[in-house]
Amino acid sequence: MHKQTYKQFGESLYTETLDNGLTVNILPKQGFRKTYAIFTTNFGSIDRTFIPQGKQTHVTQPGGIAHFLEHKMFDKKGYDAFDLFGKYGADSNAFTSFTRTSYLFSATQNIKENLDILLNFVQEPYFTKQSVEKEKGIIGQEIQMYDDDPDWKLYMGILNNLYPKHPVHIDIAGTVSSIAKITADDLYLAHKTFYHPANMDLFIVGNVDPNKTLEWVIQNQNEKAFPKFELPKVQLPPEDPNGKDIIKRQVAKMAVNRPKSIIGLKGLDQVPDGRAGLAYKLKVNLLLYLLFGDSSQEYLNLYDSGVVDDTFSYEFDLARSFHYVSFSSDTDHPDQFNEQIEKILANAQQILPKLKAQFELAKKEMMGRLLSRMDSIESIANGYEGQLFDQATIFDQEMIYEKLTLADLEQVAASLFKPESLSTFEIMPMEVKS
Amino acid sequence: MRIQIKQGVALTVIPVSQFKNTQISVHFLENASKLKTSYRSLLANILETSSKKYVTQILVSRALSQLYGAGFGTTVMRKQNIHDLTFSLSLPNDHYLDSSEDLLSEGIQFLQEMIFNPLAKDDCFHEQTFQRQQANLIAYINALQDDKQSYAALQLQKLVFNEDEVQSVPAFGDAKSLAEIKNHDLFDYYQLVLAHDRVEIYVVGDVNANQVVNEINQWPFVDRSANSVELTNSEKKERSFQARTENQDVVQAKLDLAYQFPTDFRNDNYYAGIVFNALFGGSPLSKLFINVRERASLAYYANSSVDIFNGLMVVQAGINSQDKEQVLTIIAKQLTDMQAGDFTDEQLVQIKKGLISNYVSSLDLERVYASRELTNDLVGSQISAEEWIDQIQKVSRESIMKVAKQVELQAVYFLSSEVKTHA
Repeated sequence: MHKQTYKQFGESLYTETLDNGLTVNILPKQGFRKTYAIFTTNFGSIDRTFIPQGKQTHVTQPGGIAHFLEHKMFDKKGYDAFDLFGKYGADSNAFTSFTRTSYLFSATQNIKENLDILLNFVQEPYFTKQSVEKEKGIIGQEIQMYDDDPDWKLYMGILNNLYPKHPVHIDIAGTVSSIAKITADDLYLAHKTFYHPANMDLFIVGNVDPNKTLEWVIQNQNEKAFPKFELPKVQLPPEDPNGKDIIKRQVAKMAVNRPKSIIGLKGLDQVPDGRAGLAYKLKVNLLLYLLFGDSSQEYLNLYDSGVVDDTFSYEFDLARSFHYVSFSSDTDHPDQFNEQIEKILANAQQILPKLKAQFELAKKEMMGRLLSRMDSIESIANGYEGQLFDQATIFDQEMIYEKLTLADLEQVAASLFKPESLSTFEIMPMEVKS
Repeated sequence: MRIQIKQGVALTVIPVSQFKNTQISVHFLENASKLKTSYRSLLANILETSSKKYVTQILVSRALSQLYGAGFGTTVMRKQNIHDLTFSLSLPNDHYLDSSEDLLSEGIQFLQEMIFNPLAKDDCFHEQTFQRQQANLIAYINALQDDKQSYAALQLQKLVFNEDEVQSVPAFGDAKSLAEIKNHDLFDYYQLVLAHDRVEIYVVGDVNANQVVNEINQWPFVDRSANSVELTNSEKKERSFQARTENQDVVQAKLDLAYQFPTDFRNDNYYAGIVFNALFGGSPLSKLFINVRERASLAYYANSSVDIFNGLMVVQAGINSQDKEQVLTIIAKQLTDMQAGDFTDEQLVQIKKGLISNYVSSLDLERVYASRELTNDLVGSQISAEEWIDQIQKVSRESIMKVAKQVELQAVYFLSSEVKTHA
């Protein structure tokens, strides 16, 4: 087992790749009572079209399959994994993103038993026609709940504009009609293709002994046979490299009180692989913080002129096969909001050289934020992106931040901020019916 | 360690070594009226964004960046009748930084500046800041209507409490009273808050208690008598059953129910009440989750929560409009089953395990130390983790049934999607 010590933070991370390909990370946390374990596969909502294990041709599965599979994994023959965790005093949960599906538990006792439950229920699929049909009612309600959420609508709206072809524009949960098509066979096929240990990682943080814990995991895995495996081949539709397929602007009407606006910036540049990809992400985060963070002059101007209010936020999302920036706010002046954001992006090369002092301050800020996240065992484990950033963890970020220069940010701004990659989505209130 | 730094102003230092950050919270507590609830909410917004030294939001943010990205914020909350206006600061411990600065000391000075030196002139807050924060807060409250889950919860609250009760408005106030607040009146009111509110200060982290005491002692607090600001077991109010249905253009309907709930704090009934709620609807192993969601597939969420200080239990579910009666029947059945003791010993053991595990786990969250201590201080009694766990273990089937029999449906609010018009 590989041990890496981070002296400055008083932490040691233990890592091992098992014979079956599973990556295991263990972080013992001094003084903590709880243990948190998260078991993740590199399979998310965008992975709809793929070559199944052992086959030659592509299949396309219904939208929402990864999320549906996540729900159905808990249902076992004669028992429910959720209840079983409950018997051993653990809380369990699961979530699906565009590119990953994670299953987790947290507990203060019976860690070995709970680890076994976690590994077993995720690795032993059991689906029946009847239980698949029943789940459609529950997930249908989950989808409808999001249908009434204007912020989610806004978010999906901009993704649809930026990625009219790429499946990231499909809601993670799918739609009521797409999930209606899902069958037990579809779920088995997805599981077989993506849930192999070689495509998964396990992260355990908290009140644990690393050697003993790893032994438990190995013991569990040795009792199971896994077939020969090739990493999944997912097919994504080709997109225009110059962003010509981006939908520039759309407006939707909804029962909201104030208009909402979101501006999307699609990354048309290439993100480097591995740790360099993480560096890219941190650079963009710093860059956006300097230009749009709450200590930037640009943000204050937007705020003081009433173009945005406290609801303003920006976000950078980078995952397997896509990356984009979004800026959103409730605003009565969507046109001005657009103009101002576009202007700041266009002027970035003039603004940045004046921000030397702010840059140093921003690095300080980011250091503090890392320390703050290190107090949360969930945050440490959930922030891990596995193979995307070549197994980097939160403890590797400090080194990257330390080396960054303002010139790095100018460079990344030049490659990311392109006017042709911008788009807007707005939600306007419906006319009042009397 | 708890000391009175002035009469009515207490400082509690809670040394915990497992965290890399230090958290300071300063609670201003008062039995505030409905109108003053809105005053306090607006104060929270104004005081968060500026001070004499830091005249713009940027300067506040940069000061926080200097403190290595310390998190600063104001919040408003309410327990029973007590309104809590809180200033909180979370900052990294120097120990983990290559820095010769004394961050804790700087953080305490920063808080002092934000609390005691508001940006003001001629007994008024800075006019532009006042106006902007007033407008933003009203916009925020109006926009809450767009979140249907919160909207339904607020409508239920209005249905349960009479208009003269402070609980009929949320802790962040209401848009109408906010719009009427005058800058000068608000400034005057803040002077009253500073001079008369009960104040509880908590510092949690790997800190030197003496240093903390010495530095916070420098703050210009004055003596005050604030004896009446405490939590009590309020008497059960006679309330008549209320029901209301509203139609909106939504996809998912919201069904929200309120129940009278026994209020005794920290006696046998109290622990039985905690177990009752977890078994009834407060956990994913609960009757509501299993029967409304898992068995009948009628909802994605269906849960219960208890507000012990107001003697209230709330059930929330997101459903299809046409399923309302069926869901109501299932929920009612779960309550009668609880009253009849229709749950297995195994379920009871599991639920208790879950509650205890959550309690122990919460000690890994730094913010919990202060919030738990605040409740203790407002109730005037202490309880250790061991005692709490022991009391939960002791809860019997009979005591849960006894609580269940005191739970009484009081209000039903239904946000229906039935008039849906397709766009």
